[in-house]
Amino acid sequence: MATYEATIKSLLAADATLLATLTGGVYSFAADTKRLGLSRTMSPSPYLNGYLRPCALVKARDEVPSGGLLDSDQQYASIRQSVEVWLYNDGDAGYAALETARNRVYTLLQLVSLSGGGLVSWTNNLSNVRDTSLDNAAVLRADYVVNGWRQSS
Amino acid sequence: MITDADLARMQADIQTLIDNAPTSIVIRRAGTDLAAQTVHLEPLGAAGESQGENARVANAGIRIVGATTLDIKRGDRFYLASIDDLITVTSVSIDRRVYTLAYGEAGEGV
Repeated sequence: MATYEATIKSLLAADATLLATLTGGVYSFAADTKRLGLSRTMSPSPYLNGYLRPCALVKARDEVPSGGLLDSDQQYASIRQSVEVWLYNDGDAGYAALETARNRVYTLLQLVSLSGGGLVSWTNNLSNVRDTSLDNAAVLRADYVVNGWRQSS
Repeated sequence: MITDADLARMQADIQTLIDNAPTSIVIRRAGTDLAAQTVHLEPLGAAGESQGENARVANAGIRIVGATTLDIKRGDRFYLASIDDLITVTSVSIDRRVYTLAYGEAGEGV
């Protein structure tokens, strides 16, 4: 069960309160971005009339075995997977909307059991960041770890 | 010695250049849109690409030519619907007796 990026993206994208702040949408890095990453070629687009809107990009790092569970019959293995929630806004818009969104993401994810298995817990925040590749977009990030499991497919 | 008449003739020539290929732009400065202004835009050669954490962008340069009264500053931005891209003004020339010359860059993901 290793599609936590997709599961978390779906969970966040279903929340009307979060979407009221993230008018540019919620995206999965693997499923929703292509060669150019966060860009105007995406559909739907995080841009409106040329300017980046507040949006989120969910990006999972690799699974790491946690050693808690091993089953040779079903080839189960417990894993930990870091999932980053990147929050972007136009560089002149500041961080207020992103702070609101990050707080809402915490409410939606902290100590939540995901459908299909996996417990989410918050691990880290990254604040006051600028992305020079996106015209110095305002960036916040919230990191979570999912304690879950995988089996042979 | 350049006279006022010389400057007026040169300004008129520049205005002809602008009128031949005008583009209306709306500059956004510190989150506020200025009134639309008419300029002449020229590309500055091929674009290079660079990679950010979650985006791959093209850094194409643009020359912006306007009248001496053009309200433009470094850091200003304007959207070009024709190429669906946002231009960031990177510099403005010092000598503005004949025209305003500024340079911009497509500074966001394409």
